[in-house]
Amino acid sequence: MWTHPLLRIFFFVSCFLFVYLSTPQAAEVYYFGNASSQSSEFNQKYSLKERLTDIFDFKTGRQMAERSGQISGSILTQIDYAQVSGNRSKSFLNNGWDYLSEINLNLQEKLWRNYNLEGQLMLRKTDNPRIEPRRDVRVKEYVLKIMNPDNLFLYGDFYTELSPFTLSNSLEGLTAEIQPNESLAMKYIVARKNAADEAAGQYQRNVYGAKMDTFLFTHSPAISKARLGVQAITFQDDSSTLARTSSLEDLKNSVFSFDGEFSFTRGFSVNYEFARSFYLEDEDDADLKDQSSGNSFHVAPQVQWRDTMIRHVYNYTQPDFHTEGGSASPDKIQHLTTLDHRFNRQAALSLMHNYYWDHLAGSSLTKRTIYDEKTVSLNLVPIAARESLRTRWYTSFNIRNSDDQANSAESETLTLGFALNDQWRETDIGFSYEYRAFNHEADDSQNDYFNRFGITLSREYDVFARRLYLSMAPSVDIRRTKRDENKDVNVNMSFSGQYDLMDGLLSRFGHNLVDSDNARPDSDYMNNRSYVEFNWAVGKEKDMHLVLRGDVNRYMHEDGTLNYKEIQTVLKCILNF
Amino acid sequence: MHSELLMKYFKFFNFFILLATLLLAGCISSTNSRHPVSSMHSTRKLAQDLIEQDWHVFVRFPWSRFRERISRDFQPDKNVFVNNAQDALASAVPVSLSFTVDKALTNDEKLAVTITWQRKIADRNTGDLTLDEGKCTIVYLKEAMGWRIYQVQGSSIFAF
Repeated sequence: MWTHPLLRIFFFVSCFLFVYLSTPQAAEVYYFGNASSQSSEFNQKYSLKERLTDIFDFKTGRQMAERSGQISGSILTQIDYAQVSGNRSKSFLNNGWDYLSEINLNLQEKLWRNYNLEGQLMLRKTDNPRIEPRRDVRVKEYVLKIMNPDNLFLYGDFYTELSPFTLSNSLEGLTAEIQPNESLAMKYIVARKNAADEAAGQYQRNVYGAKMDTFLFTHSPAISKARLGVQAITFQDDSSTLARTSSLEDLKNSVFSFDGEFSFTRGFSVNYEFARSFYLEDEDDADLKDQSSGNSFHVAPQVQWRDTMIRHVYNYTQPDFHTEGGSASPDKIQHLTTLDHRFNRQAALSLMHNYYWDHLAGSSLTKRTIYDEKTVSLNLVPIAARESLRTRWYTSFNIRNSDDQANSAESETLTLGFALNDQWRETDIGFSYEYRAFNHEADDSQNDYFNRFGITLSREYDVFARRLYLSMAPSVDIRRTKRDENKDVNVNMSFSGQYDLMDGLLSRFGHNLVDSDNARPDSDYMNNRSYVEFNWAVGKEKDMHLVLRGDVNRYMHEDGTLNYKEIQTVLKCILNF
Repeated sequence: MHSELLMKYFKFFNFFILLATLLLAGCISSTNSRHPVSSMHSTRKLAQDLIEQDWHVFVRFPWSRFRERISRDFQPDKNVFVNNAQDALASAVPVSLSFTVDKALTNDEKLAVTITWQRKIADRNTGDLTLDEGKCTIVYLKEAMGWRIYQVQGSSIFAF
């Protein structure tokens, strides 16, 4: 399980610290909460009869504060019919009926002291291969957790984080978050990232990890946060979960890191992380026995002074740094500086300079590429008396340069534009324009220049004492290249609306048009998609929704063999209980 | 032959579930109760809405608006992500996206949404449609201005 010796040491040290630091309340941590949770409100005692009555009470609608437990959830049943004609290879749909059933269940129960139990389960069954490749009942999500304000014990699906370099992932398994006192917090993970999958060609990937945070100066008036953290994670493929074949990789990756945050109540803050990784792509490959290792470092100081904020981020990641569960850009040094300043209620400026390069020592790249990016953005309310009129002006200039003889990666990208939003006679209005020029210095044929225009209009009306909402968003995108003197013109027009036909019965409708007039001969096309939907909330409490929807999609290309038409009808029933 | 028979049973089973749901709804509605909306259901609805909004902004792509939808702390690099999205839009025209939410998991101020998606994009030069399918997890971070994209793991819907 704890394959790396350092991981084992870290695990035992963190367990020892946990036992040592939480000894005075050890029994309470597991069974009765702890000292820091004493201030929280305790649950009242309930008899078994009361608990059973409460949990199966679907009638009174009492809130959780007034009962010991509750079951709630929703059931979805959907039937849809699709008809595709023309070139069917251009459609995801298949002719005929598809079915989908989903059940969501939630369970809440008050336990001893201030501990509560929460459970969630989601089941799905469908014959639609776009949604599920298998037709049996699938457990898509489940979780069972016992928690109080300080501690959490969870089994099932969960999203968890240790630190940016080590772990931020959705996992399935066990986790515990324990806070013995206000100066210490710990997290343990025993889970898997994915199950064994023959089709995807992967073994079950097991995940073991732990984290410990110490909080300093917790009562200082000048320091709002001072945290020191240490964490370790290991990803280990379990090659016993599938029959061994030479094509499957048996991966092993461990990452250790220490990080911290320090913030004064006002003025200055900084966060940092240093990590080291160990990576073996395939343990079973006799030629790949050498484990690679690499370091990564991140620091981000920030200064806030009156209405000005300056932040600098420095990232350094070696080419051999590998993190399976965290985030990092290997083979990169980055300096990112941002400055935000608010002049007054009407004007705010933002500047950003991002400078980074690759091809560090040990890199497998053949050349170094240097990126230099600058952006300026200004938010302006031009007329003080008219706050609804807001404008945004922006520009960015990105330069890419490579140190090879041919300068093969050298390019420049310029973007500039503005957006305007206002409200005029109860109509929301938006207008935007953007120009983008991409110049590839080594190869002119890759250059392209875009002019984009967009308008949005939306308004509510009162028609026969019912609400009618209409919205429209046309846009045009004109592209010019060095390859052709003609231009590509793309027109996009979307229109949507909603009308309350009667109490509990809503209608929605819309149309979207994409019309492309391309410079290249015989390549023009048009795509029209329309829909109408009726949503009926049934019953006095609107617990059930019946939804009927019709969709028509037609794609027409100058080359008639590509044309197709899709018609889809969906009947959906959703019941909340 | 067997598979046809199984299909018939399967279709019958789904109709049965629909009927059972309607009957159950009738019973529950007649009790005049105040049922809370399922928390899992509402989390999934939120996840679906966020992805639809972000896709809509991406397709129209005023650069600044899409940039606003991405968290300042995006992992691993916000600028690379936005630049790649801009390059993707220069190479093709997004025509449609459909997706199904498989998981919507919350943790403190994060929402991790795992989706299976199908997307159609049209080549800028030929207009020919390409059909892509993929699976990805989009992690949202709750900030003062609303939910912002914090991470995209797997096959991104914003990259062609």
